Amino acid sequence: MDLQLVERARDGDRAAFTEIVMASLADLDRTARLITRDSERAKDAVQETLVKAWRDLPGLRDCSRFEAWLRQLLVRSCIDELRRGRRHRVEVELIDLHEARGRDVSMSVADRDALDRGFRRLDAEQRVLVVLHYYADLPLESIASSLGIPLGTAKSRLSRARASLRAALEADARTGVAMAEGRA
Amino acid sequence: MTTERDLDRRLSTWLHDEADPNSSPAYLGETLTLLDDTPQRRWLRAVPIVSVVDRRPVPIDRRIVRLALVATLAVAGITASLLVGSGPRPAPSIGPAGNGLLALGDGLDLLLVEPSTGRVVDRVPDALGTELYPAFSPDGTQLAFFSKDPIGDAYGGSPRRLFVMPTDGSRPPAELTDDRAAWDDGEPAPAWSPDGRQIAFVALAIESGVVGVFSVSLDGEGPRLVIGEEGVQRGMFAQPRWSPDGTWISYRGDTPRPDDPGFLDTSLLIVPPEAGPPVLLATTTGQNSSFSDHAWAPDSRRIVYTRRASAESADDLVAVYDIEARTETVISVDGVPAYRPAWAPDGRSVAFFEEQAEGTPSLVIVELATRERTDLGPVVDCFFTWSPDGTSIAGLEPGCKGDAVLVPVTEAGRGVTVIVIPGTATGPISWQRVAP
Repeated sequence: MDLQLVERARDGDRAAFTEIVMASLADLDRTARLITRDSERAKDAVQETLVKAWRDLPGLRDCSRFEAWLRQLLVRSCIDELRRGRRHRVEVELIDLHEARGRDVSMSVADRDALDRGFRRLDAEQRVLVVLHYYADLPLESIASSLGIPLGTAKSRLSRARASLRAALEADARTGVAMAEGRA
Repeated sequence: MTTERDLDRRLSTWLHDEADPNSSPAYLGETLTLLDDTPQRRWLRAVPIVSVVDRRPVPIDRRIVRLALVATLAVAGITASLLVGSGPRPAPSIGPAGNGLLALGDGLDLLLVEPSTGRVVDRVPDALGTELYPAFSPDGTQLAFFSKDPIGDAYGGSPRRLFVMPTDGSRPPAELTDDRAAWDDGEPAPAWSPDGRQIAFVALAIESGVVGVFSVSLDGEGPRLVIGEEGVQRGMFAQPRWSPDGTWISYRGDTPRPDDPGFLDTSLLIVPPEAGPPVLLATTTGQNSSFSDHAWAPDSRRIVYTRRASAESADDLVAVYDIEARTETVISVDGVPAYRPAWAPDGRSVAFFEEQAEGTPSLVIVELATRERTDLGPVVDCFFTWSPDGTSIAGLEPGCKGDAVLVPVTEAGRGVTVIVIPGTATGPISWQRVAP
């Protein structure tokens, strides 16, 4: 992120902040969608993040920390969204065939479904840990800091999340074997 | 069987596939309109009044210092004479007091909450990261807290900056530390001196590399090193606490093992606030995180703490240490992990968490004279604090993932009141003491 742009926005320049929004919106939206698994919630979380960022930016002393700060705001907004009660709405993802072709073919549809189901069972903080670790490739120290938890807690929560996802994959594998053998 | 590496690969692949790199959210215009309706907060930047960083002494004209001192004393004297007799009575610094506001974090900012109504009366934002570990001064007129940067720094931890502000919001927060100087590995609520004039905290003096317990005066003097060493690891000094009579600062420290100085034991020590040789109270061998959550009784003669049950055990117990008698009394049940003790304001009983087979820990109160136990059940989790009048306890709701709760201590877990917190209640809670 352009440091001067952040400094101008901090000093109240709305045009500079608009540039920041345009540059970061897609990435924020992708991360929020992965965490919330819901495009409407992702939108709400991203908008809340950007409103808070604009509102509180004058207090940011070290502009080089803007991106980490923005990520922290997004993480908190996503967690709050997930905790704000479940909406009675099912989002069906329509997979574009062209897009599907671009996906890694080494993973089966069943694997993806199993991971999706396992991921949705994770609590909000575990989702954040998994997405920031495996998608954003952030070190656990930074993720722990974003979540406001000790490093050891982040490690143990990630470990539990992985165990839960592994269990989901293995349960699906067992079901697949059972079906193949005509037991299910 | 899914191997670790296989799981990592599948997770990474799945997430990257799910995140469409070409997606372009359709709500850019809507977001910009939202921003049009949002004014920027004109945050009053915290005013650094002192710095913990060791700086080379600068020659100062002593006549100017004397003049400044005389002027400051004169202003202070006039202000004091105006205030005496006209303001509210201060809360007693020790023992039961009236119940004021609750201070707790919501994950980013600190909230000041009126406990009887649950109304958020003020928000303390800093926009620099997470504000956490609030601590009201003994008389309830000041609030100290740490602000944590969003990301760790070169020291590999989570550096914090110490702020203090008047509870009535009449002045913006003033910073008592420089960037990244203060931190503590073990839940470091700022430690107020009983007269409310100083705050002890653990810090790294960046230029000298000294790690230790520092004390900073709100009068503008300090910070000064109470005890510390150059170039040692961070855990060597942790969790400073001021005795209620002001004669000692206790802390958890690592000390060389007498029979094998190459190894470090975890010890509980006390040191005079004006600095001096530390006094070793108790030591455990080879057990990290022992003597956590220690707290002074109002009589300044006893300290309650959590420590490991034994070198072989991973479980904690709660014990009271009598400083004069040099004896320890375990007050938790043998074999049942217990932790995070807190004295009742009258010093007669101690509340702590007792682990259950699963789920939320039970909150237990033990009357020390009779050993009578009151089990309030799994009503609060993670952090709690006594009300200054000793009639109730405020804590985080079970699971520590949402609201705060108030629990009357006399009704064995009945009559729990939920205080709805905007966002997520996090971290320790401080309860303001006011004149009853």
